Amino acid sequence: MTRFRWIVLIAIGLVLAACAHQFSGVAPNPIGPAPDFALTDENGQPFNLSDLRGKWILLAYGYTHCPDVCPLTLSHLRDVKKIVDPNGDQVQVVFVTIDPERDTPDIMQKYVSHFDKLFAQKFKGLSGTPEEIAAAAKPYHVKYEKKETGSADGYSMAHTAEVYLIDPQFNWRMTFPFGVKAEEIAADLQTLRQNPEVK
Amino acid sequence: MRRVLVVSVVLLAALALAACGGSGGTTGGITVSDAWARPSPMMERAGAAYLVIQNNGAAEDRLLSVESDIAKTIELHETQESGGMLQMSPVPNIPVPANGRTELKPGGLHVMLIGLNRELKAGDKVQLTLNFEKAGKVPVTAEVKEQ
Repeated sequence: MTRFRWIVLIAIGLVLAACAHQFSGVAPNPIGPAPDFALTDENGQPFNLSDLRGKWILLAYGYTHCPDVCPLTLSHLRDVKKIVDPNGDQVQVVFVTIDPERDTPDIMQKYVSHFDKLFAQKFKGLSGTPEEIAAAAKPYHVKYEKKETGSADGYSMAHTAEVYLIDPQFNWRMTFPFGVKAEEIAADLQTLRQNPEVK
Repeated sequence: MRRVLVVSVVLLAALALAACGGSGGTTGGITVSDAWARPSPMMERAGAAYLVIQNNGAAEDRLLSVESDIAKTIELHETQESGGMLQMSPVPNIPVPANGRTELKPGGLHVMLIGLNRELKAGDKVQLTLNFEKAGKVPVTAEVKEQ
């Protein structure tokens, strides 16, 4: 009986601790399976997002001709990885291009490798045909549009810049708006990791 | 004795200026500070530099262009949100209000370094010359670093 009481108390404590955490991300309602997609990875190999089932996935969309927004997002994701899984392979960063015209697997490889230098587990940089990219973007409500701006750097891609968190059961757990700090994403991820039942 | 005092004061002032103005430049009413550039993911892609412009003058000034040997073309860009999407576009100039400041920072205004002549590596220094409509040329040193 005493042991049972302790277990109840500990369980309540854990739930309270989880409640006390103010999430920075927004959970989909209801939480459900993450949409899967098939693209080509940075080594030119076919890659399904669901190949990563069993790991936490931090998923972001962008393009390599993007010197401002995308490096900010990727450096945040690098910092999340540094905080929650620096030496492990349990948290995988995935960057999907929305500019398939210019971002080939070779380019994606060079680009993501700039951000994963600290880790044994490398970031995934995914590209594909325009149709495949559209199919990978739509279920996550990613919007993008080619814009001619007159820059010497060529056209620009307008795009949404959220980060999506998928759990090891391959459920879509959170969406983080652009600019959320690495520490905040890391805190949300750690809270979900410690309290898998919290929705 | 008095001369020693004057020299000491001048030296101290110079030291103080050097200490706080490591990355900054001042011309007329314009002071540029906190200049930095992000390490470049790859040579084939543009880099970005950020800085803070303080205008202590009584009239608005505008940043018209930036010169540097770091890149073949340098443009002023702004990231703006429209319909939930972020879009980066060149801007013709960057206004700095009278007695005010304009910050170039990630997710907003930035100096876009197109066609890098060398890699931007953390710890490197990049010399930039900012051309203002009224204040003219203001040199500044940007440090390459993660934000």
